[in-house]
Amino acid sequence: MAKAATAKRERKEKLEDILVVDCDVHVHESPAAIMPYCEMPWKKALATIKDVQEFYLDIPGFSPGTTVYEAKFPSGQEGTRKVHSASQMREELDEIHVDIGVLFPDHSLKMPVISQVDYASALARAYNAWLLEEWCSPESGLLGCILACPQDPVDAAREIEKYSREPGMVGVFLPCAGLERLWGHRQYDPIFEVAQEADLPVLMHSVTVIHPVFPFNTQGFETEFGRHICSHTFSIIANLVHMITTGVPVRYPDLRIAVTEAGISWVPFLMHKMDKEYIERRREVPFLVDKPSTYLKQMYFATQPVEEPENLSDLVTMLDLYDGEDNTIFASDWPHHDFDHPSKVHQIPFTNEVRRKIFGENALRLFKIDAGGNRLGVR
Amino acid sequence: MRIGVFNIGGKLYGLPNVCPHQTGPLCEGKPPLGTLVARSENAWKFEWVNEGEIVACPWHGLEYHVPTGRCLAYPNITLRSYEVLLDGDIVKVRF
Repeated sequence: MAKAATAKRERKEKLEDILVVDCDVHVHESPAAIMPYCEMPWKKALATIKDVQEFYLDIPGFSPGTTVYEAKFPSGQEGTRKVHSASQMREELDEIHVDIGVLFPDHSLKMPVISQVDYASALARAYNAWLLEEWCSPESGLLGCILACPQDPVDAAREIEKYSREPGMVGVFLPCAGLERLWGHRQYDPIFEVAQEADLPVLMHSVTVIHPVFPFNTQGFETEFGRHICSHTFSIIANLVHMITTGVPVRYPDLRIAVTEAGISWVPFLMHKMDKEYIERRREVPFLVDKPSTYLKQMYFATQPVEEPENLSDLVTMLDLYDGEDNTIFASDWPHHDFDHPSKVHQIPFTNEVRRKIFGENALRLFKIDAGGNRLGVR
Repeated sequence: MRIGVFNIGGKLYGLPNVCPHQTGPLCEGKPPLGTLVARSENAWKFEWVNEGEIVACPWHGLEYHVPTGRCLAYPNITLRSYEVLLDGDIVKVRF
């Protein structure tokens, strides 16, 4: 196990000289933007709300917000930045030294809470078509993920198959926010099947939302401070637990799995917790042929929101604790309120070699792309 | 180095336009507002204080008290203050 900390004195490579693949940036899909790509009758529903004033990830009939429950005070933070076009994204990623950005939605992060199955799948289809047409471009270093609608796994599998050979699509986005049935439930098997077949990685991404399911039943926290602490990471943990439980990595051994926006400090916790439980309860999860952490170590973990200990070398230790040198991937979460400027991750005292892996080389392997953003094996 | 100049009640203050958190453009956000505190002296009730004196970095909202440069969330962090003078119509900053 290679040590990540700097052993000898080497000059730190400049951020500008490192290939940076940003594994999590967000496009803004407003109802008006995706309306042209949406089929009837759902297009009518988008027309109804297209002029509604929008709060942060919060449009009635589209995505539910959480801030309505508390007093709103004026704030100097620019917490509601949005990116409306590919050219704007390219410009802003240039400003933060990002070479290749992997695209996720804004409002559709909350897709799982939409109660109408057909509306949800129609929105997913519209989003995917809009994303490919108006955003995805390997030449511009903007690569998309196909949104897999959890309410309709069969249709999601069809969508993945439809876009599987597109050079502009490099992964499958599995929404986690407000999920009734966690990823790992057997109903999602068609999605894993086709993603593996297409050699596309699946990427889990959650968001903070209040919904009567674990871990989103957070109305008691009184603050976004509390809800945000207990949302993304707990959601990712819950989904990973269920995927291990039903043996997803075993039943789909070639499927690459990544998680986003959960930070990294919880990874050793989950590995140890699962391994300890496995001692007693192996026969509840008889799919596994090895201890659970073995499978977790094959997965990819995005850095954002990166933990910021006073002593940054603690992060080097943390990464070492889960053997994360080859599977930790940089993400900024631009333009969201809690994005990480790459300079923060750049400051961490990794060796140049490990820093390059985290900033870009590991992502190239996850997405099977070259440094120009081109999918290997797809013309 | 870019410096943001603030006018609070007629007094001028200068702060660096770089947030020590993640290099955000500290002075380019909204003009200074107030903020919330809860003190034992007031039975821990929420109070809105320092109206017009608190600047928040537009990136992550870290708050700074402009007259002193003190970071509210991390009291051990104080921004360097630049003395700002008005010479007729010209704003001068002392380095």
